[in-house]
Order: sequence, then structure tokens, then C-alpha cells
Amino acid sequence: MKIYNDTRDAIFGELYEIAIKDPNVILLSADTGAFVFKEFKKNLPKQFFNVGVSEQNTMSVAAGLALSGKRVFVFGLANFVTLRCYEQIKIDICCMELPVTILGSGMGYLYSSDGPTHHMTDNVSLMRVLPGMTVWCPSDYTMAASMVHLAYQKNGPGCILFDKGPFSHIYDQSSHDFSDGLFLLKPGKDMVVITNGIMTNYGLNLIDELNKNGIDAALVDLYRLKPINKKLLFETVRHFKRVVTVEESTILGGLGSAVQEALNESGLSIPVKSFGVPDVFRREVGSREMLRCLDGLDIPTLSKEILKWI
Amino acid sequence: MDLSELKEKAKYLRREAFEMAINAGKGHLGGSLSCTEILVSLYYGNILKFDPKNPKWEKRDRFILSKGHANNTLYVLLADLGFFPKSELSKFAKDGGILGGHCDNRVPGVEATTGSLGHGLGIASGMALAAKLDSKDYVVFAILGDAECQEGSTWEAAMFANHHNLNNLIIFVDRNRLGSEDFTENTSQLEPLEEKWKAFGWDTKVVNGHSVEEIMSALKDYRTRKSVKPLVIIANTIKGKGIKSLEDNPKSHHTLPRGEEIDIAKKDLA
Repeated sequence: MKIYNDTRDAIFGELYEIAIKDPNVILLSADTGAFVFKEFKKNLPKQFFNVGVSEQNTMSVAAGLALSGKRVFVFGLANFVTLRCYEQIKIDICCMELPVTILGSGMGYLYSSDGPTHHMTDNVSLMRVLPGMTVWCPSDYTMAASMVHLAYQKNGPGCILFDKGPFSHIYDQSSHDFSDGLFLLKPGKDMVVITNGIMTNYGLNLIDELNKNGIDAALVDLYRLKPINKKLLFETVRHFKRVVTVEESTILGGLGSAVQEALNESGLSIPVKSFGVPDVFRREVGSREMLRCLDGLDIPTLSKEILKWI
Repeated sequence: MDLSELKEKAKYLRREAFEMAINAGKGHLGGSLSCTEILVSLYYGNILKFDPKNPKWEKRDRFILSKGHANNTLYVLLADLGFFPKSELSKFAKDGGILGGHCDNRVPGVEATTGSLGHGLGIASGMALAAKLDSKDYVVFAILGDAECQEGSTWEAAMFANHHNLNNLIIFVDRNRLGSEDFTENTSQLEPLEEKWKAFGWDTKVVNGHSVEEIMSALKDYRTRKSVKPLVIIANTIKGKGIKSLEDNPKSHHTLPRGEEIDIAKKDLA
């Protein structure tokens, strides 16, 4: 697999390679673009369709294609290809257990100054509650590229919610097996921080800051939020006295909830503190960094709160 | 079947659907009875290609009941054709049965799970596009409710089907003029409905939806249509057709006859 420096290039570059080999792979775009689409249009015109600004119909069409033997990938801005067509995803795709993968561009406050219509702070939670849906949140380009293959192999409902970046090249060993669902990126002794997506990059900075304050924190990248690898999560965190989750997504029903539910089910009694987007609309105009500060998700505040907690 | 046999079959389906719903204590008789002749024409009029012993037969035509609540006559029909045992009808909407109150594609002969309106035409369009991509000659049929045409997603799909010249897609709009609570023209006006479909690029026909003659005539040469456009057949119907107390009555959506109305309804359907 190639080394990529752009998430869309990674996802659509790999999808193009899959589609060349499998003529039943179809890519639908709800009028959202990517550089690689030129190759699809030129070389695979029967496998790429821009369906226009019609997310509900795009999902139903995807279901109809999948019911006819196609393996469909649907691309669009994450909010629009999840929220606008939520019921189509629920009934047409998940309920009928069809091989359709949603490629949702953008997470959290990526498009911060574009306002609440473009804040992707609830997609993860909403996708997670759909039965049969696999939810991936890649934390670098190599992982994003690999997830396309995992979604293709799954041959069922899937959702890759991906950030534009920039990402650090965390997983440039293309032989890394991403089917585990999580990875201990950095060992530690005192506590463990769990993140995914762009926040894994952020988490590396956070544990550096904690280190400066004498806390040896580990970092776990929980890149597949559903189904969560409960056994491996249990094995990975059981030796820690405290768990912290950090997500740029609503605190309701996302990464923090998933971790707490899994640990609760395992019977493991470790205190968990979750940081995320509060239950409000952010209508303030500003940068991603500014909105993170408003939510207490900036590194100094997170670090301070964690130190206070432990 | 000839026309008289088709009419008899429609009567049979109505009677059995009524019995099934009364036995279950629930159903959507109004919308089921309004599309009965359309179903009879498609399945018994030598229109649809299907094999009850092999419901997933690759060359079958596809049929989607987009108004998935109106499955009462469809389920009786599928049992009558042998897709599943008739004994399942007595378990309609009951513990352990396979037949629920809305269409489920785990039921043999049902292509798509429907029941939330506005999904079926998009799914049918995806199937029709797949047939084109794979150079297959099956035809995709769907029945939409008229109130379902108040859903925006229906018109997204209508644009898509026209744009991709899906002339292998034929739909009926069951124009019984009623939604769940009121007449469509009292809630969000649909008329001029045929002109709307024309404006979206579709070929259109209008028939009496209770006349198998008119329905069969509208489907003449459907498999060799010269037009590249999808076809909508607006079927003017009566909600609750066949049971006087339900006919053209807003309450017929999911209210069943009760008490002495049951015996009167049985006489209506005899």
C-alpha cells in the first residue's frame, strides 16, 4: 500500500484499486468531490455516480444497488450523509444488512467557522446506535487507507468518519493489522488516555504535557468504535488505575460512552473520566482551536482537569 | 388468468386480507384494499416474472411495495402463490409469526423492508440502475402511496430515475386521495399530480385503479417500451375499496370494522 499524505487520497486511492478489480464496487457521491474521482470518471464510468444534492435518495439508491449484488460506498460531508438520511441508513441499509459503506468527510470542529450546520459533533454517536453498523474513525492516512479494505471485506453496513487532518504519520508501517479495533500507541504506568481520529494526534501532545507534570500516561487509539474489541480493551486497560477519554464529539453516546459501557460490562472497576463536546450548539464563530477552548478540550485545560482529578 | 378470473382473484384477496386483519386485530385495510387490483394484475396477469419456489431467482422482475403498511393483500397474495405457507396468515402480527404489520424483506417474495414512506422509489431506482449496469432485462415495479408523494425523498428519486433514463422502472401511484388522517388535498396539495410527474421527466398514464382491464391495458408492451423514460401509472382508487364502511373514509387507514360492522363487511366482500 502506498504512503499517503491526504485522507481523501488515501481512501479513494485504495477504493479505486479495489474497484478496478471488482466491477461490482460502486461509488456514489452526494455532490462532494475528491481528486481521485477524475480517475473513476475516466476509467470506471459505470462505477461512479454523482447523485447530486440528495442524500436521502443516495442512501436508498445505494440500498437498491446493494440488493442487486453491488458493494456500494457513499461519500459526502459527514453531517449530510449521516443526519440528513439517517432513517434511510437505519432501514434501507442496516436493517436489511446491506454492503454499503458511508465515507463521511469531517469530524468534530473541522469546519469550525462554518457554524453548527458543519459541526460534526454528533455523527459518531448516531452511527454507533445503529444495529449492525461498524464505525471506524481513522487517526492517520495509512489507517484510513486500510479501513477501506476492512469495509470492503466486511461486506455489510459500515461507516468511516474521517478527518481531513493534518495527521502525524503514526502508522506508516503498512503491514499494521487494523482489524484489532484498537492499539496501545504509547505505554505508560499511571493512567491511560483513550482517543481516536484526529484526537489521537492531539492525545500524543496531551500525554507529553502530562509527562511534564510527572504523570506517565499511556495512549490507546480506539479507532473502531463499533463493534468495540471488548476483550482487547479489557486486557489493555485493566492494569491502569484511571482511564480518561477525549473526543471532539458530543459527550453523549460517543467514544467515552462506548468505553464506559464496555468496561462496565466487563466488571472492571476503574474510574473513567470523559472529556468531549458539551450538550450545546456552538454558535460562536472561530477556529477549531477556539471552539476546543470553549469546550475545555484544549491541552492546558485537559491537562489541568486530569491532574486535578488524579 | 383472463379478466374475469383476475376480478375473482381480487375478491378472494380482499376477503382473505379482511379475515387476516380481523383475526390479528390490526392491519392497514384501507390502503391494502385500494391497491388490490394493481397487485392482482401484476402477479396473476402474467406481468411479473417470478418463481415462488425460488424467490431470489436472478431473472425475476423486482416488485417493491413502497407503501409498506399496505401489505395485507400482498401477504395473502404471496401465500396464495406459494411463497410461504398459508398457515402463516393466521399468525399475522402475532408472536412467532413471520408476517408483521409492514413489509419485511425476510418474508419470501418481499424485496425490500418498507413501512417508512419515501424510501421505496429510491431503492427501486437503485435496482433499475443495477439492471442497466449489468445489461439485465428484469423490470422493476413499485407501488407508491399518493400521500407518499408528499415526501421530498420521493421526488429526489424521481429526478434520479429520469436522469438515468430508467425505462425499466414502472411505478403505480395508488391515488386513493387519503393519507393517514385526512385527504391529501386538505394537508399538502398534490394536484396537479400527473403534471408533476411529467415535469420530473416521467412518462405518465392515468387509470381506474380498480379496473383490471385498464391496468392491463396500461401495461401492454411494458417490457418493450420504446421510451427511455421511467413510467408512472397513476391509479385512481378508493381507500377501503370493497368494504362500504371503510370506503373513502379517513379512518380506514388503520381502523378495522368492529361489532356488527364485521358481518356487514363480510357481506360487502362476498
